[in-house]
Amino acid sequence: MVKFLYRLLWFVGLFLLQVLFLNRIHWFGVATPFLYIYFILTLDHNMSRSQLMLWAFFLGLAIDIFSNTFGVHAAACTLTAFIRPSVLRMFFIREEKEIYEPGMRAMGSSVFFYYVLACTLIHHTMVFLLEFFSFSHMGLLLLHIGASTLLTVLLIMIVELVRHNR
Amino acid sequence: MRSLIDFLYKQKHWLLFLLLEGISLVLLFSRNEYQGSIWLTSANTVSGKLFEAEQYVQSFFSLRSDNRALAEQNARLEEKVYRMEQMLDSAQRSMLTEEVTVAYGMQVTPATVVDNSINRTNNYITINKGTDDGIAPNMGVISSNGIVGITYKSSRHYTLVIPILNSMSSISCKVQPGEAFGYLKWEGGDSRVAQLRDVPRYAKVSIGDSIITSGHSSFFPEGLLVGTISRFDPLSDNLSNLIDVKLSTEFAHLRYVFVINNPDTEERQNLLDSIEETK
Repeated sequence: MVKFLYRLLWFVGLFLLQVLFLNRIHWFGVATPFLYIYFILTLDHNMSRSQLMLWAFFLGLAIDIFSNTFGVHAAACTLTAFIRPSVLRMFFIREEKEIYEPGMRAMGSSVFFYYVLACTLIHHTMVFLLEFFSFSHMGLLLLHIGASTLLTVLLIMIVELVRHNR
Repeated sequence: MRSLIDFLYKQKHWLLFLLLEGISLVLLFSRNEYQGSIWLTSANTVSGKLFEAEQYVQSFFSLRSDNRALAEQNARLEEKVYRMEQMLDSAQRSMLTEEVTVAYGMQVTPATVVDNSINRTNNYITINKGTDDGIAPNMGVISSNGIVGITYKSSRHYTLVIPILNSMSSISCKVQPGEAFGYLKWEGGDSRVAQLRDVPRYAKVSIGDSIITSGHSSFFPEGLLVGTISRFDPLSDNLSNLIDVKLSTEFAHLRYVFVINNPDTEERQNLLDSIEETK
């Protein structure tokens, strides 16, 4: 129960940060950080796919409602949550049975970085693909995905560092 | 059948995945079609309230700059009004005399009060504009409500102002209506009330009349509001009336002022000085 409330607090906190603050950032007209996916990336490693997807879907939907993107983030989040266990297994296998939260403490910073990079890239690709909904501006699309991914990963690493060193 | 159910159960996360993605995409593709989906946008009540609250908080951070912008705009407008009044005045004069007189411009500089006192007999006001901003001694200072005083000493960035609330201050005024002239002096006490002196006994004045600048001194153009008559005692002495004036400027809450630079001041002063010398 305490864990659930703690999780809900992160949910609301990241959601507010995203819609009130980060959505306003458009560096060089291309880069917008979507830090809120930090929530999806750090849910417990043993959480079932279905649970992951439900959390992610509702977070994405909430973001959609407040940024007028109609399901773009819900779709991207669901996808990210769906493939998260596979990505996690790809980078990191731990034999112990104990539950852990993906992060620097459990995985080490470089492994965590690759994991975050892969998930962020998938999420952002989905977001911008759905937003552009065409390949006719391929260069611009790639620029948006690349620049935003960099910014998001940077922010996630900073947040994780701050939490980790506490 | 049983094996089918088993299969579906095993693949349940796939089904959930497809369901959630399906919902998302339906939302995405129907955004233009449903008017009813307005609750899914930031136009719904909850998000509306949230963004409203955010705007409210944000507006506090810009209060200072908003204020400054307004003060500057005010100064620009006042300058415009003076220019126009001057032009109107000169237009009327030229119509009368059939001469074209060139309207002189008055420069108005906005300033903020950084120090102010009201409870001494000789009060001073410090404003945050100085010689670098074109302020010099002997310029009129007004607020949006009425006149404030006259500049006294200027450093590069600050200027000391002698307000009405100073025994050195003496400002030529007239009563409206009636056009009777007098001098505005202050003798300590209430910061909201000053006295009008030397108004001849035969002048008709009554409580509630406006006091405006006379234009006799070059510090202030004619017609700026000074205050209204709040007490009038015809029996005070033999030669002139004692008139209390409720000042229109609130010195206790003075924040933004404007300095008037009348280019004629120097010329008039030189003229007076030359008369003094020939005496």
